[in-house]
Amino acid sequence: MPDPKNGETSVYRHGKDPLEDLLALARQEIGTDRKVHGAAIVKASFVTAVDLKVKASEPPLRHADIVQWPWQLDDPEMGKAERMDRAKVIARHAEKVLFPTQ
Amino acid sequence: MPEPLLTIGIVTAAAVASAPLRQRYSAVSPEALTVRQHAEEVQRQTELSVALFHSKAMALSELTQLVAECSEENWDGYGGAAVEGSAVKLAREVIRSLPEDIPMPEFSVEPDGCIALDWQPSHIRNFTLSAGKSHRLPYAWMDGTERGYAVAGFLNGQLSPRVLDEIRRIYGNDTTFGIA
Repeated sequence: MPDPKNGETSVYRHGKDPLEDLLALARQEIGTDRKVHGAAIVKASFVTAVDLKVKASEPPLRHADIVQWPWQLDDPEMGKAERMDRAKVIARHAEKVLFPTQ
Repeated sequence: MPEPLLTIGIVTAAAVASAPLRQRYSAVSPEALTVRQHAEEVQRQTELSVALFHSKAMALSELTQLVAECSEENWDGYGGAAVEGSAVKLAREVIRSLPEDIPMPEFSVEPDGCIALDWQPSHIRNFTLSAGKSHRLPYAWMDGTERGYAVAGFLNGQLSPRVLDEIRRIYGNDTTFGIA
């Protein structure tokens, strides 16, 4: 689900890189004061399939945002329901990756 | 010789206790059988109520714990809003209102401080209801290749029958999809 402040979902492009690279990226993103538990990996095509877009937004390296989430100013609850619907589609196609205990 | 119904009545009152009742019966007359059936029904309902109360109490406890973890701004490290007090109140009301045949949901806090109630029998079958500031609750569901979304009213402390039926259908309990 998008951040309600800017209407975007912060993501990172991963590609076919080793998972160790993803873990390093995550550690770099969240800092050392918190533990990285895992990640969800989804192909960008599943995002665009529900009429959303992935927009590169560097720095940091490989950072991007999922944008164009629907917002209905005249009916915010219905707008949220629509966002939930699209998020479910993305989640359905996501692969969950758990990192080793640090 | 009629069976001593009063005795059975006393046993019925004792049905609240955990000792099994069925083994105590020895009545055979039609009247005694009727009383026995009523006693067993009372026991069944009592046990069901206790089980239901337990599951709701557990769910409310889980919700309380989650709220405590997300009560401050930036709880997720991404600027997530602190969980809304109104959302907590509404989520609790929804839980308390659920009929006995609806399983308890899992909870999560959303970036906007609302509380998501998730029923997820499987990866491809799920239903999510979002409790926020208003009594209009956004929801979305997925059932295999089918999916949908809408807004449910929570009026007079009850979810609409349509929403409840949708949750039952996600769990495959909808009797309307039984015998054609």
